[in-house]
Amino acid sequence: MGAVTYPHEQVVKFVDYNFVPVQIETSNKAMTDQFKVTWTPTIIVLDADGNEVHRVVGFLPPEEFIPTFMVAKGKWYFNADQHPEAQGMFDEALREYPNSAAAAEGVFFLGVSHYKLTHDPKPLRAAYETLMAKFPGSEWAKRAAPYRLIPA
Amino acid sequence: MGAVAKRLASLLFFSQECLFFSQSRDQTRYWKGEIAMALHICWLDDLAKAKESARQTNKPVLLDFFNPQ
Repeated sequence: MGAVTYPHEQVVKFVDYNFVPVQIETSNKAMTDQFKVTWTPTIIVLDADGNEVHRVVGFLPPEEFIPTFMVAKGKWYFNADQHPEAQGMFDEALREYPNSAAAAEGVFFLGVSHYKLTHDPKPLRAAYETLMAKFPGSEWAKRAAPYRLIPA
Repeated sequence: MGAVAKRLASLLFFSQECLFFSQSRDQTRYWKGEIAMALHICWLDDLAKAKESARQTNKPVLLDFFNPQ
């Protein structure tokens, strides 16, 4: 990550604008124990109270890092019930990186966020249909499977 | 300013940029735009400080565990 992804100009700008970045060496056993880190790289998104929002283990190239953490920031907004902002992040990830590995999760949470904001179940059904059309083999398509029962 | 000159300016102002960055992110963006592009992420090394900054800036913390070896 330090050789390829973190020096990438777009990654630098993205992290600067969206996060407070902190880097801890794995020699800090108190911290690795606290966060149950057993492999590197491990990247965790936390809220200001220290609650874990998202975790990634393993290398991400720049073109996957940015959408992955766009979705993670969307989940941060989602957890705070800031749904318009969450949907903005999910939409941006899907618009800018539609074929990324994180896109399926973005589709899932976009549908859930719309439902939580409006209590209209149709966005859940729409998320399922989008996942089956674009990411049929993804775990998120499986997680959305119950939404197929929602009337269109 | 040419690309090489921008990169040189970035290197010359490397440490000042991180210091300035920690003081004012908005000003830093202006400063970087005027003089140089950022070359690196300005990582904090203290989670407590990062959480306090996250509270003040209304941003999430990006916590990276790395092995320097």
